[in-house]
Amino acid sequence: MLTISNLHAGVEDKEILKGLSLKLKPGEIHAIMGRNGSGKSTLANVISGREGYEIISGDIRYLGDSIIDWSPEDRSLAGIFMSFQYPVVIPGVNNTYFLKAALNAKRKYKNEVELDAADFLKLIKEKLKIVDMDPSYLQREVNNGFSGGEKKRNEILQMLTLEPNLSILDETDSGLDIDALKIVAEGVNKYRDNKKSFLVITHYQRLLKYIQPDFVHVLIDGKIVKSGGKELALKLEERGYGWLEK
Amino acid sequence: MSLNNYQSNFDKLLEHHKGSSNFNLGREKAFARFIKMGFPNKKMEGWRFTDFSSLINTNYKIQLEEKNKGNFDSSFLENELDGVDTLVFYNGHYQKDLSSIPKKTKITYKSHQRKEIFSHSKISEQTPFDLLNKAFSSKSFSLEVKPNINLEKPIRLLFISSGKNSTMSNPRIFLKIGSSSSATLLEHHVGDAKNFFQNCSMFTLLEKNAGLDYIKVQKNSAKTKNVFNYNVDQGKDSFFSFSQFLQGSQLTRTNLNVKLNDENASCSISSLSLTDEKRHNDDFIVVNHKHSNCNSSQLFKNILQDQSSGVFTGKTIVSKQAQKTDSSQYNKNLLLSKSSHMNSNPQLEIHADDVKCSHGSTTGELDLDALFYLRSRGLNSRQATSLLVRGFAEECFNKIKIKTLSLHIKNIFNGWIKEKGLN
Repeated sequence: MLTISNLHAGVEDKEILKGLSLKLKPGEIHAIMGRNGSGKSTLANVISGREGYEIISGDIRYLGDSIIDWSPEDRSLAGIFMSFQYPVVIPGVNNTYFLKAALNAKRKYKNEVELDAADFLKLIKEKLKIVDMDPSYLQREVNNGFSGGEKKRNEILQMLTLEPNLSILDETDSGLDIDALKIVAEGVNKYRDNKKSFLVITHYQRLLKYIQPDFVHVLIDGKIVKSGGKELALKLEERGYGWLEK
Repeated sequence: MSLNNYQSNFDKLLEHHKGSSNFNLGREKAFARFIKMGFPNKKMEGWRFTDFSSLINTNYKIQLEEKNKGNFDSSFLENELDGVDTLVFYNGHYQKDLSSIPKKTKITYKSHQRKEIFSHSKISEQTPFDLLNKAFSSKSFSLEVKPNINLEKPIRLLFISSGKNSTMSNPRIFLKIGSSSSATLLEHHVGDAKNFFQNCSMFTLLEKNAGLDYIKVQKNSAKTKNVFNYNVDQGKDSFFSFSQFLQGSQLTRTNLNVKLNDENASCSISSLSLTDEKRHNDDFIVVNHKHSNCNSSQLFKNILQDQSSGVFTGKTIVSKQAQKTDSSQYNKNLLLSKSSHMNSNPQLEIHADDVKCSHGSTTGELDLDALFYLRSRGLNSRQATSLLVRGFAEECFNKIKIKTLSLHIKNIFNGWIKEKGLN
């Protein structure tokens, strides 16, 4: 699904990722854990193609193709999704309009018929149930006046709507109370199957109780210093990151 | 600089109306004052950011004949809007035979009377454009809604500008909404005139407890220069809403002067302008709170492309006796190109002490985080830009209460942004 090899990348001449390699197979959930400033969000942004992040050397391959020169929309259309750490408020644009435009862009890309308003509504109402959102969300402006939990649920709703192959969840647990966390995790678990992959970026072990990873990687100073199974997350919870630093 | 062209036009007008009694009244005086003043220049306060020299350098002719010669594109008359009565103006002249006269209203179209049509509206000509309008408008149009009438059907004033010659028009319009009456008016400008200068003055009087929703849609030809002089007088408990949507035309200057003359009057003013190439839009708004317990709000939005430019001057004056005033004034501008330009001057002049007044102004480019967010969901950069531009504009459509009208205008706007390659 995703192969990152010896990736060096950064912002404005500052190198943040310093030789990162990672391989995700279909159906796998990988967790990336690390302190603030270790490069976790940079990794998410680099995979999704955010402007301002520069790749110095190395490669990112998705389903066999190098994507480092692809636009963000091409990556999205090809099936990469990022749930934002800080979902952006889009004033004046209602959620339905936005979601429908995004879904139809994707359907067009896949040579499928674009959905009309009625069909879209039917589809989205099913998805709303999964993340326990009231249909009134659809009429609200994208993320405007949403609580932290509502914003993150809205991200998962978008994931469920766009049906990506690879989902990157960037600090999806931050700002969530335990109920919202469970709902978000359940959304991911319902969506998960043996073809889809997830990269779950988090500070804490908390989220990983609900979304069980196959692999856990520890990121320190732009490099993966240790990888293991889900028990590694528990160990980190107990002992912190200090023992992995030089 | 020479105003000879205006002089010879004026001589022609007087010659044409020779013999009709009272026609001359006040006109010569107004014209003499105009000649003395000249067009505004950049040294004059309130006019500093707009260049009117093209009005001097173009040889505009007034059109004496008020009947249309049937030589304009009849598609302008096609009404894609159901359930409105349309009153047609061709190059500034009212066309009764093309109009559908709204019920329960009184319409007149005639030369100035000794008194102006609604005598309680005290008119003072202050700017060169006021004077020019007074001198050149051969007839005044008036529309009156008698007291206690709720006009459900909107009335559309359709202004068509057309013709190959350089033409000047000076429509002069009086509106009166009687006490406890309400109406919706749509001022709609269309046209394909080669070179047009429109200087329109409108005097609106809202009596006690009257309500007027005034909507303006301007899309006249690329070569048109528009100057609008709106004067609104509001009585006790009256409500006035003004929402304008502007696109096209080379230059637009809007002078809007609202007086809240009596207690508990309120006005809500909003504007959305889309400019491109070298077009220029200048809004000059004065809201005068003359009595206590009045509300006013201003929301002006400009979307600027290419080398276009805009000016917003909003002045809210709160007089000494206007206690408990509640006013807000916002100007928000979206620059879509590095070479577009905006001047924003929100101003407050407060003489009372127990008031709530807010104002603010923001000018910026598209939010890069928002653009990335939308692109990360599969929208290409044009679709994302278009979505953000629509979102920016949305607030202005919400100001229109009649849903069908609001949708109609939104469609027009979406057509404009499509035309401008933003879709």
